Amino acid sequence: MSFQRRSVASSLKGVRPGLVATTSAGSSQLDSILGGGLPLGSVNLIAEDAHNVFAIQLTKSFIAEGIAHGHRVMIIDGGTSLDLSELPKKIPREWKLPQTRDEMKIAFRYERLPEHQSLPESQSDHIFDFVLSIEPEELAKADIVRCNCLVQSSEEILRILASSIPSDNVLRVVATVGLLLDHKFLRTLKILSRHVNVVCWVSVPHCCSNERFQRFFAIADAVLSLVAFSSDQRKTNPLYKKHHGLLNLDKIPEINSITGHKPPCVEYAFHQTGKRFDIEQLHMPPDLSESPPTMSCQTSGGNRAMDF
Amino acid sequence: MFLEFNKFLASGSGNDVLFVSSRGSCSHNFVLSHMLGNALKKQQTVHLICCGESSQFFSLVCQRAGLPFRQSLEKGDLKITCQVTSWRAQAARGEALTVPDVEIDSDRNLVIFDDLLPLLDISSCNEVLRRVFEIKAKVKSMLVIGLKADDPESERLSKFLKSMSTMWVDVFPLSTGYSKEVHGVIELSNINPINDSSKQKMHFKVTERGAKLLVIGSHIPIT
Repeated sequence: MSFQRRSVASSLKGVRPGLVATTSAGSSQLDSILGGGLPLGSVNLIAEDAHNVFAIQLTKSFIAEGIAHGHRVMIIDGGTSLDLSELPKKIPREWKLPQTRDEMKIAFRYERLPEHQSLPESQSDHIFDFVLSIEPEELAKADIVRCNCLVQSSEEILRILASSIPSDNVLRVVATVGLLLDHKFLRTLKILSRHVNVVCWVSVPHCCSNERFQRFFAIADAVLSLVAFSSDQRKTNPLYKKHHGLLNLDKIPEINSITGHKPPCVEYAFHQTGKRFDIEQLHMPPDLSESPPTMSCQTSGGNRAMDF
Repeated sequence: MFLEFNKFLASGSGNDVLFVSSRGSCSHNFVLSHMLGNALKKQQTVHLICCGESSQFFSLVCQRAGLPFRQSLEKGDLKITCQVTSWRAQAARGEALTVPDVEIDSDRNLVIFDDLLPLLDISSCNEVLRRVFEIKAKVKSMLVIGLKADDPESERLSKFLKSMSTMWVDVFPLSTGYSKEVHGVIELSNINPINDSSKQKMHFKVTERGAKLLVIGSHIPIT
């Protein structure tokens, strides 16, 4: 019989135990990029896309995941930017068995390679449907603390935050910095969150100056940035045809460790169908043209192509 | 492990100011934990001032690397001033964070200030420099100062600190982008007037047990 010391964090609902306890960001694909989820005690920065069309969806998933697990959620904003009745609805995951590849024969040397088409899904039993809205009863039951930084000072908000940290539950903090809140707020938020059951999701608007963003970058534990494609980019570039934008993992979280989870790559593409927000590894599309590709080199004066 | 770095440290006079800076997605914490571990192994006396990370961070990192952190703390070889803990208490009371008056043990072999960026967040560049000069005047042995320098203000502070130090270490990401096998570039510079000035640039890979320095262009660790 072996004895293993269990931390308090591992017994909390919606928390995955490990070297560093993590909780889901609300997207299983994002969790797998981050090495299992968002580490407890971390400040995670998300650089919004130009019009905040897609970053807000990830923020909604983060809040909805917290409500699904009964976590306390604290929202710090300017009062009107986030409508909680628009949060996605939790639906049970349909487990799919891996399909057999009878119809296609793959060369043995490629068969051993991992599939890069989609990211592995984590063990979560639910997904979020962005077409359907959260049940009003579920929203009414949720433990949500809202702070308005137009009315309350940052010291007051931080005092409320410090008194809202539960010992037997997780506190999810959602905040926007760069316009109304500055780097001092972010630094204090990081100090308050460290080594306790708090996970922070901090978004930075696209209009935030580069200098300010660099300071936020230095303070944050993890940084994700979203870049949405314009319709012209999607039409002209075949690589972007299926996707709505790029998601970059600019800083990997290193909580209680000098080395974090190192994913195989840090550049991903996302697309949002009506229901789901999917994140995939960015890769070159296969060449489906009928003529075999040739590499030719033509000398400047002659007419004959020199193939090699 | 990291012997090239130890050679670089040995090239100093023993009472240098070593400035350790990092940029972008790279952190300089592995350099500080290596120096801390080295000193603890040699049973030297260390004063660690934690501003960027808490003492718990260094405790966990040292324990994973098999270093005698707790034993040194109990013996009194290691003294920790954890500013993060006192700031947490200040923030919980709704007070603004203040720059601490750190009492330095001048008889310690090594004094480590893990990160100056939190001080810069709550005060001005001049105020931080004034505190650094105060500390430098008290320390008779080696002083190690860390800084995460990403924005123009911290870069300005970084320039001042480079001018007052005789040795510095710069840690930054690969210019070619992300790699799973090589985590960044480390640049070691020594401008000690006694010895010849030197500059070395290497790649590094960080693991829980420590860091590996690699020759640029190869995967051969420097031993």
